[in-house]
Amino acid sequence: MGNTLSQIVAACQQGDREAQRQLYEQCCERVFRLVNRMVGFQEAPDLMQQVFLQTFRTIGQFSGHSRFETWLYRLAVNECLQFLRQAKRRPCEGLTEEPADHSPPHARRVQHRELLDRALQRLAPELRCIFLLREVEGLAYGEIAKALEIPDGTVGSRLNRARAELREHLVEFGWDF
Amino acid sequence: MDCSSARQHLSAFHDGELPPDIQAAVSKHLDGCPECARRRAEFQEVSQTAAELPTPRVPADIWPQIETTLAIKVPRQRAVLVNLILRRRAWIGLATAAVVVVAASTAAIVWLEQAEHGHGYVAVNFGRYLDEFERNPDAAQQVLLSNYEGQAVSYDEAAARVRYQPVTPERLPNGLSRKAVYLLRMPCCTCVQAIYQGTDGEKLVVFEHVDDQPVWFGTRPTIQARCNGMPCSLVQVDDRLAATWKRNGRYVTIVGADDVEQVAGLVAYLDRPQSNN
Repeated sequence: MGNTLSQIVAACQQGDREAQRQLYEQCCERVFRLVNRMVGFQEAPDLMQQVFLQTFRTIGQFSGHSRFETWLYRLAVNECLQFLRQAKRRPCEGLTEEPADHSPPHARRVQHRELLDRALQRLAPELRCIFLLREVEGLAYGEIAKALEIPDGTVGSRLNRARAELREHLVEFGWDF
Repeated sequence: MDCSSARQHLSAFHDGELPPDIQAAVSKHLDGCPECARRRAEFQEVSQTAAELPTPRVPADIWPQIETTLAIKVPRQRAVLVNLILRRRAWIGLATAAVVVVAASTAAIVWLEQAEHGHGYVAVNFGRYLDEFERNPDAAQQVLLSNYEGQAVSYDEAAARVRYQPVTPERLPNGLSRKAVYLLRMPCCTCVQAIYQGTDGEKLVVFEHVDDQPVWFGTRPTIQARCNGMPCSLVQVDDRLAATWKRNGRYVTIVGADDVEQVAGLVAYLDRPQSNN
């Protein structure tokens, strides 16, 4: 039977290389999903490396007061926001190179997914990440507050704003609500 | 509940994150308001679509690259140092900046091992501060405040407490404005810290302290250089620089400079007679 995430994290805090690999394998998909939509497909691999290197450098600071995933999302979001701030650029490539959608063809739903991806790129990074943490990663408001280091009450208002702006962009792109 | 209130709560209602009484009130409003109910249905449609967004495939070469970087940790530190020297064209432009000594790492390690507890903790805490600074300056600040009884003060209060005029003018070159002044009770002395913010939101922090504090930079590769003619110790903090130099019998340490050129500019600027606060 495999180790639990908390056992793996504890081993990583001791510098265990095998545990680091296990941690990466357990978490890479969700981190990449977030990073990819935050900075775009071209930049995501480099950012992923940064996130995990930073994770292993600072994992000793993880106190266990929150879920490890929340702590990891915080690192990932910080790396992405810092990258976008420094580079002064927004991803505009979307996910056009990513052929991972193998669901049965359903024109309207596929079109909606494309529109949503495009509209997400229009959102300010701070709004985009909060929407992704909620809608794609499924975090509760309390976890989002910890991940973004913002007050609980701010999560609701910011998410409300993200959804309102997203709706405007979707309508502009032709989403037929 | 009217439409305006309902719309304010609609997002949290949709997520089931409202207190039960408000959740019930919004629900009741939706039962009688087709327009708000339609807006809620839109949320549901977007949520469903978001849940169906394809999960991208993680490139297979990421982990091997991470593993390689982890395995060559020590050589990588040297690479950072070389990078620091080579990548900054400003080194050439600042011809006065003669690199004289490379890497006080070994000495610093010995120093750290022999250090008293107080200084050892400073090394750890300041190391955490530097680690955190580039990613999240506010979180980094909390490390210092919580460990050194940090206290927000006015400039005048700081001057009265340390009995000298801190070198923390309201404005620095490159559009940096002073946002806060703190006093930190560190083992060496009471340190004055000023936080500056540029128009782009980037932060730069200036510390002034009585004693030299090489321990602050821990075992990070350090170079000694002359910036605007002043001997400085510089270390790289991710993509930014930290530097320390002596001024008027005290030491100034900055964290968050973009490049050596900015360090040299700040050394020159802060060396002028200060009109201060």
